[in-house]
Amino acid sequence: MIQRIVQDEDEARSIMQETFLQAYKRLATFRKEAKFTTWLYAIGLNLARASLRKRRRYDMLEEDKMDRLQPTFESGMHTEKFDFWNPQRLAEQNERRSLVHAAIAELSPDYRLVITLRDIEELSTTEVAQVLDITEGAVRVRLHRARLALRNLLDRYFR
Amino acid sequence: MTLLDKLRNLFAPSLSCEQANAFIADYMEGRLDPSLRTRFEAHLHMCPSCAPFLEQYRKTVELVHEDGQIDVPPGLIEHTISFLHEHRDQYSAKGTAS
Repeated sequence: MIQRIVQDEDEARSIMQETFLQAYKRLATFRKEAKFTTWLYAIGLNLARASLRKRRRYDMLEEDKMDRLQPTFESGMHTEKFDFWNPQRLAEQNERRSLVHAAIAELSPDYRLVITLRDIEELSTTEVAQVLDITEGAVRVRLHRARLALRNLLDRYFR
Repeated sequence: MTLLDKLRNLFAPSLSCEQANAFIADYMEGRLDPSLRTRFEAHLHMCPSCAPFLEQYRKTVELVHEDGQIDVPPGLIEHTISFLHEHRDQYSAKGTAS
């Protein structure tokens, strides 16, 4: 999760260490209402976000780009035509993996994060809501928009 | 589904692509109520765009799940554990000193 946010292996390594250290120091503040892992995710997330802010890699341009990756409609109907993806391209496993990673890296940090927590790490919607400190409804909306953006990015490879 | 539900569905306005789009995730998770699911599926059958679009969306989730995991860099776990040992000792020493 941390590496997905900061996109830098060395920085992720140091944040991960700091996450465990903070957890150790703050163990007495852990309330058993949430799962321990959810609490740990939240600490890691805060540190990763702080690191991003320092490096100013979070800006509104990314939000605009994410908006442009959403499907468009006219009078309620899709403005674009869609085809099923090419099964041969989908079957090329080695290439597929790097394409998926490249597409995830193009998402904004918020979208990368919700996709990572829900679709990769398989946390429940409730757990994701606790980690991100937003409502479950907001998690569902953000996840859907993130998947739509990712679908758009993958479309150019698999059509 | 009761006869009343079937009649309601028969006369319910069909969904637009935009409305169907908003229900995709709930449809995949089986969270739509039966009457809305029927309308959603009816839209898929008649719309040439939405069936491939739903399949692309489903495939996206599948690909992320199968291929999205980042491998843990070699040595990371050992490195983190030794870092924690080192800092735990420092932290305990500070606690004892104060």
